[in-house]
Formats: sequence, C-alpha cells, structure tokens
Amino acid sequence: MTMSLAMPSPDTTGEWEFLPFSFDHLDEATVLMTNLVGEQIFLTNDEFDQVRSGVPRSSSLKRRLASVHILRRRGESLPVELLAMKLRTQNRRLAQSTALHMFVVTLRCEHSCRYCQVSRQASSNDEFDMSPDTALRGLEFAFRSPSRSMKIEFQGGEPLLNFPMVRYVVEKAKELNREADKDLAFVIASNLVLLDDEILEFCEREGIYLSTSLDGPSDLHNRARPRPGMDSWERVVDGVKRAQDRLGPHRVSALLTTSAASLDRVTEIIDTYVGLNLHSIFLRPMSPYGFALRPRSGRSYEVERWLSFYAAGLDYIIELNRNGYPILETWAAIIAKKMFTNDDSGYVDLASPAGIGLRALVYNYDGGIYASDEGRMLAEMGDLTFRLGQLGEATYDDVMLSEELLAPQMTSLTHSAPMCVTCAYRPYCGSDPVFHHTTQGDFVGHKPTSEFCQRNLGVFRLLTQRARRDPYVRELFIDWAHSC
Amino acid sequence: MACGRRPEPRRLLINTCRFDLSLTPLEAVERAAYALSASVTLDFARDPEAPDVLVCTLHPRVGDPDEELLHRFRQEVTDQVLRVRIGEQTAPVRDLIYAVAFSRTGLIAEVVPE
Amino acid sequence: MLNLRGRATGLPAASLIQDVWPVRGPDAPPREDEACLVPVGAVPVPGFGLYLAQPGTAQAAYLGLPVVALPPDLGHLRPGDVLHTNPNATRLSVLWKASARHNSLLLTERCDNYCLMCSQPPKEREDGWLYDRALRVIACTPEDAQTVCLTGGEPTLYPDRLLALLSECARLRPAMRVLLLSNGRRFADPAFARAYAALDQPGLMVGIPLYAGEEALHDYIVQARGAFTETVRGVLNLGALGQRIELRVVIQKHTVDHLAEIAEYICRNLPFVEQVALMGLEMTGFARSNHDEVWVDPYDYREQLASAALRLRAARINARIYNHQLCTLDRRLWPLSVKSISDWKNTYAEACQSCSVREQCGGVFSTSRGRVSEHIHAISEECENGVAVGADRRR
Repeated sequence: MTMSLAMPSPDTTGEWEFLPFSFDHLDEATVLMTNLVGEQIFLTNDEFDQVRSGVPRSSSLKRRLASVHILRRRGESLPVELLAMKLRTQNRRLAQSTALHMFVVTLRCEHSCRYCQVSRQASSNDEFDMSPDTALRGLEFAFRSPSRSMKIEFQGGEPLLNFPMVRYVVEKAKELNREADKDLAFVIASNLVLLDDEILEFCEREGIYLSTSLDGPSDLHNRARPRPGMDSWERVVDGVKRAQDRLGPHRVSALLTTSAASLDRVTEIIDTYVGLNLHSIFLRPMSPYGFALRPRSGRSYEVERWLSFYAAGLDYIIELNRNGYPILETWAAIIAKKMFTNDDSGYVDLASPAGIGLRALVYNYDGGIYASDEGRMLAEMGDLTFRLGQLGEATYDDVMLSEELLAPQMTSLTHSAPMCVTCAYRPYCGSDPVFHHTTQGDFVGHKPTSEFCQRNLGVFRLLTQRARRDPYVRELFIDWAHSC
Repeated sequence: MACGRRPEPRRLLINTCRFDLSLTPLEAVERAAYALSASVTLDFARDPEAPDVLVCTLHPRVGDPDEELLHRFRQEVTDQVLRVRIGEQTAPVRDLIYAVAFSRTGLIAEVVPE
Repeated sequence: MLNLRGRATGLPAASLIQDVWPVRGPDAPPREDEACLVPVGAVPVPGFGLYLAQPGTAQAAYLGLPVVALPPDLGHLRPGDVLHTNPNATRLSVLWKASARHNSLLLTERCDNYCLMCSQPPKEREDGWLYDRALRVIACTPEDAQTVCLTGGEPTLYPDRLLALLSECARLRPAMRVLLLSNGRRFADPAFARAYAALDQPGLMVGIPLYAGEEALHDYIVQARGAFTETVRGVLNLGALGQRIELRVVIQKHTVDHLAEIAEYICRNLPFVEQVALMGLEMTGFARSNHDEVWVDPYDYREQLASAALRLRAARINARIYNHQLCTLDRRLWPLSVKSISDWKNTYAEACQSCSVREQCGGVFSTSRGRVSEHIHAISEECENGVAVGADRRR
C-alpha cells in the first residue's frame, strides 16, 4: 500500500500576523511571552530576536507561537474566538459581583496584636458590638448582590466575643436564602480562644468553616499576639485540634501574618503548620495598614527580604510535597489558577477591575459599609476614602454605582495603568487601589516604586521560573490551581 | 616624589543618549523613562542641529551615571519599541477579541465549561 | 488473537434469507431469523434459519437443513455472538463477540481525512449499506451488551444514516454505551452538532483525534487543509452542547515532540472534554507503508508522554494511555494505562511470557506484525499488599 502526500510537510507559508502579547526577560537567556489571557511560552534570545524583527522565519517557531495564540494566519478567526472565550471565562465574575460579605460583629478583642489597628480592649460593654438591627440590614443589603455564590465571613475584633450575633446572622441568612437560593457558605475568622463545645456544635451543624491566625512557633506567635497570660499560641493550637476533630480537617484553616521577626524563620513556621496536620498555608506579605504603617511596629523590612522569605518557604513546601506531605501555599495557588487555567479564584487583591466592592464588601459593627477590610482599617485611622455608605441609608445599587467605589475602580484598571498595560504578568495581577492610596497617595500608584508591583512581579517571576525548571513543580502548581 | 603622580584622566560622565524619532517612537522613550524612574530621572531635549533627534540626559537618583545605566535605558527603549509596535499592530484584533468576548453575552452566563 | 473471518467448507450451503445472524445454542427455541450453533454429536432441532456445524459433525444429521460447516478458525464462536454470511454462506465473519471487551462496527470506509498513520485506509466508494448492516447487528446483540464502538472511515459522512443509527441504537439497547469515532469536522456545522446533541443519549461519547495545537501540523498529519479548524470548531460546538467528548492523540514521529503542547492546548482551550486518549500506533495500513515517516519507539518518548499525561491529570482531565505496554511506560502512568486493544487483535510478545504484570498490561497489536517497541521486557515484581514494588528486569 502506498499513499501520495497532498502536503509534503506542515505548511507554514502564507501571511501571518501577531495577536496581542507581552513579554518579560525572565533571565539572561530566556524571554517569557504571554498571550492576551496569560498563557506562557518561553523563547531563547535568538528566537525572540526573530520576533523583534517581525513574523519569525522559523516554521517551528511560527507553529509554537500559533499554538499559544500569539501568532495567526492573517485573518484566521479560530484563535480570535478561542481567546474571546477564554477572556470571557476569566471575567465571568464581573457579572457575579460581590460574593464575599464580611460582618464585623464586634470590635472587641482580648488580644492586643501589634499589627492590629481596629480592635478595642473595652471588652465588657456592647458599645462596639453589631446590633441585630444592623446585622439584618447588612444581610438584606448583601442579598441584593447578583452573585450566585455568597460567603459570609465573620470578622472582628474577635467575633466569638459576640457569638449571639454570629448565630443570629447565620440563622437569618439561611432563612433569607430559602428564597434567594444562593450557594451560601460561612467562615468565622477567629483566634479560637473562646472556641467551646457549644460553638463547635453550632459550626458542625451549620457547616461553618473556621479560619484562624497562626504565625508559626509559639515565641513568634505569642510575641506578635499579646494577650493576658501570653498563651495565644497554646490556645490556637488547641482550638485547631479540637476543630479538626469535630469538624473534619478541611473545615479549619490558618492564616499567617508575617512580621519582620518571621523573615528568617520560614521553615520553622511551616513546620508548625505541618505539626498541626494543616495542609495549606498562606505566606502573606504584611499589609501596610493599621499599626503596620507606624515605624515602631517593626515594619522596616523591604520587599526583597520578604521575597527571599517567600522563595525559601515555597521551596520548602515543594520539597514537603515531593516527600509525600501534601501542603498547598495559598498565594501560589491563587496565582497558579490564573497562570494555568482560565479560571480565577476571586481573590480580592488580584483583580482588575479591583476587587473592592465587586468581590467583597464589609459591614462594620456600626453599620458603615466599606469597600474592603483594609478600607475599614483606614477609616479607623481617620481616612474615610473607602467608606461607601451606611446600612439603612444606601441601597446596594447606590453603593455599587457610587463615586467612592467607581473612582478607584475606573482609574486603576490594569488595562490602562502605565506599565501594567504591557506587563507580561498583567493577566495574573490586579490593581489594588486601597494599597496604592495608602502607600502612595493615589489609586493608581507609581508602579516603578510600588511595593505591590515589586512584590507581585517577584512572585510571578519566581513561580514561572520554578514551574519552568521542574515538571514536578509545574504539575504541583497546576494541581493547586485546581484545588483552590 | 620624583616621578610624581600623573594626573588622573578626568572621568568622563556619560549621561546622554540620542534617539532618532523618525525610527523610535517618542512613546517608547517615555515609557522606558517611566519604567526606570525608580532609579533614574531624565531630561528630554531636541537636538537643535537635527530636529528629529531626541537627546535624553540621565540623572541617577543615587551615584554617578555610568555605561551600565545607559545600557539599561537603551535596552528598555528597545523593548518598549516592540511593545508600542505590537500594541499598535494588534489593536484592531484586540478590540475584536474583547468585542466577541463581552458583546455577545452582555457579560451573562455562557462561558467555557470547566 | 482471534480470527474473525473464515470460509465455510465441507457441507452443502443453503441459500439464506438474511446476512446477519445472532448465534444461539442448541437449546434455544428455534427461530428462522437466528443461527444455531450445534456441538459435535448433538442432534439439530429444526426451525433455525441457519445451522453452524462444528468441524467433525456428521452430515447426515442436517439433511434438509440450511447448514454451513464452521472452519476451525471460527471454533471460538459462542452463543451471543453475531455472524455475517454472504448470500450462499461461503464466507463467514464474526461481527460481534459477546465475550469481548470491545466490539467495533465499521460504518463506512470513506473518509475526508487521509492520516499518515491510518490503520484502516479509506476507500472512496458508496458504502452506505454498512449503516443498515450495523443496525441489524445491534438488533442481534445480547440484551445485556455493554459497549459498542462505531468506527470508519468517517461515520459522519453519511449524517442522516448515522443519526438514524444512533437513535435506533438507543431505542434497541438503551443501556449500551456507544463510542463514536469521528474526525469531528462535520460537527463544525452547528445544525449537525445540534441534531446530534438532540439525540440526548447519556451513554454516547464521541472520540475525536487532535494531533497538534495549531493547524499546520494537524492538517499535515491528516493530509487535509482546514481540518484542524473544523475539528476544533466541532469540539467547541459539542462542548457547548454538553456532549461527552474523548480527544484522541495518536503518538507518532510528528506528534511526539508536541505532546506537551497538545496537552496544554487542550487544557486551555478545550478543558470541558471528558477524557483524552494518548494512543500508541497500530502498525498496519498507512502506518506500515509510511513506517519511516511515523514510527517512533514508545520507550523513547516515555518522558514526553508522562509530562503530557500528568499535565492533563493535574487539570482534572481524565488522561488515558491506550495501546502501550507497561514496560515502556513511566510508572506514574501505569494507573492511566487502559487495556485498549480489541481482544481479537490483542497478543503478547515473547518476553511477556514471564512478566508479572502481564494481566494488567494491554499487550501489543497482532496487526502490527511484530513492529513493536524494542524495549519490551518482562517485569518482575514482588507484591506487597497488592502494590507492585519490584524493579524492571531488562533482558
């Protein structure tokens, strides 16, 4: 049997043209190119020089670029349709605004954490508690959002100091949801000190998740989180164990607040999480809000030091996984989801338009509506920029269309911000007008000196390099991307 | 000392570079200046002899200007030229992709099933 | 390996009323539209439309009955199988083996692709009658038949016949799973895709080959300009209609260096597909005549295959490895390996005799006539709690 070939080889003749792309010199020998939706391809400098001078001559390079939708035959429509579909998928949350609603049920707290601006020690009177009336208005407001899914997160202060209000909101929300039929979930952000059997039973029955703070080994944790008795660590560890026993391991997670003292101790910190049988850790940068802005709070470390801390932590976590202990780093997972899928986890700080308001709203104990938790903290420091209104006065539509929300949204879009617009990592990033307002005095910020930009660029490059060098790591990141 | 010390040659401060604006878009130079503005600020001027030529004078925020800085700036301009060119070339198709992505649906439902 | 064809000899042939026969045992109630398999020494009960005599049966018993003598090659025939006969019953072929994991029905030999490694090269001639025959076969299958693979050529070249067949399949055997093998191009037509989706059969899946993440290479491999775009559009249409899709990547010299790229393309552009089959070559048909153009030893691409399969798995896409021997695969892929070679053309190499994982292994194509990996070797295992822990022992 013989066959004659109509096409003697893959045909790349004819006219080609570029589709939108961005690039970054990842290292001295490698250029990263990303397409409109953030898919990656790596070129040698020689290959990239071909791109500089126009459509590449090499047939195989043409084909590689075509397969990631950076190059197309002139007028070819399939790549356009596919890019549009991916773009639409990535942005589908835009039509599903505000999935996360934070209820600050009290400002009272028995901790006096160094970084925290908002808590009040006056823990006996109810001056700083949310009233049932305010909570109900908050719920009615929240249920106006079009999002199909709805997560209610209880914040403080320490929300368990006003547990009756937590109970009230959960029960009332479920009642309202009988008609609204949203995909409803609850999280209590708590130091777990007050976690007793009654609360655990309630959480078990109502399907509530617990999120706590764990800064690492006891000395680190207790120094950052003073309370009478200096036993915050012992109590949180005990709380995590009891919650795991009662609710199951996946219903309790812990968050790390990084301080200057954490920076040299990343493996110890991670080991603390492993010791508690926790399977995720969030190596968050310290936020520039609250006490954190004040020099005496210890916020003197720089982005570079934090990036080294993060890289060391990430590498340690990768090795833990390789050796059989599955543990996910949340920041990497959030970014990996944007890097390796068309999906997005809805994380507030990595969105354009910014996630404030659109992805999250905060209802303060006093009925103040804020665009983000950081916006609420700024208000406690006297800056009301991100206060969007008052429950009972403003409607959901009023707030979402308010100048206070639209101005930071519109001005800070990464699609138009200088440097962002051509950044190879733009599809993974966001605009964070609250951060830039706080640190640089305007919603857009000056990108070359923006800590947000430097830190995110550092992490994007790190993740890209690690995934590129080691197929195991790439698969691990992709697995994380599909787990978060 | 008998042999004396030879006067050190006066160190040449290299802090200008020139771009022919008929070849290099002004926008690319401006973007490069912005991108490096954490470490350097620039003066722009037209060469009085050659009106198409833009003369850029670099002022590092710390220390003296050197070859390395100029090299980085020129490299940045080269990259920005490509970004400007690709941005212009692909603007119509980019608009088309956004239109196809968002117009048909009015941002409702119909997404790639995951 | 089984022979599925044979010439009937020895006994006088009758002129038959039909060509497709369900095979029954001697104790079944006689029907004139069924064939009776008579064991040696048994007395045939009158009333069947055809009698299948085992070799060595006495002729006298069949006087006056329509009988053919089974050739020794077809001694494997059992009740529940389906047999095809030519009009004077001199040629017999088994179209359905009740005991087989896979049964395939050929719907047409025509095709609008002309793949470099096609194992069943297309023939351009009117053969729409095959759909009718397939339907008769389906009607003859055992009630509890599990799966059928509908193949070609390109079955969608007769769109109306295909849709009618699928619809009848669902009516006759509602529980049977159907895998339709198609190049997917016809589904680029939204009207056809909608008509297919309107069949609304949860047990129906379409297997569509994809050989690249861009048109130049795919079109070259399938030797048809514009095929890639149509195939991808077809997959997109089917995905939008919620249809079950298996993408099939045949691994050969031209695709082997692009496996990661294809996996990436699928994950980003077609993430809704239910599964992706990564398939070894069957070295017959064009694959044999284009040997040098397509052959690559599976052992030599095991790393590329692993990275593509694990990429898909990480993205929660069901990656399946077809037509590979476990000894040629990265061990991480063993759980993804499927015994995919039809029983009748499934065999094992000599080295496999002493292999401890032979039972889990897909073996090789007998049709490849010995053109298999040069690295096939027995694996000796010690099992601990049923988990293989041993190392490969290379010969």
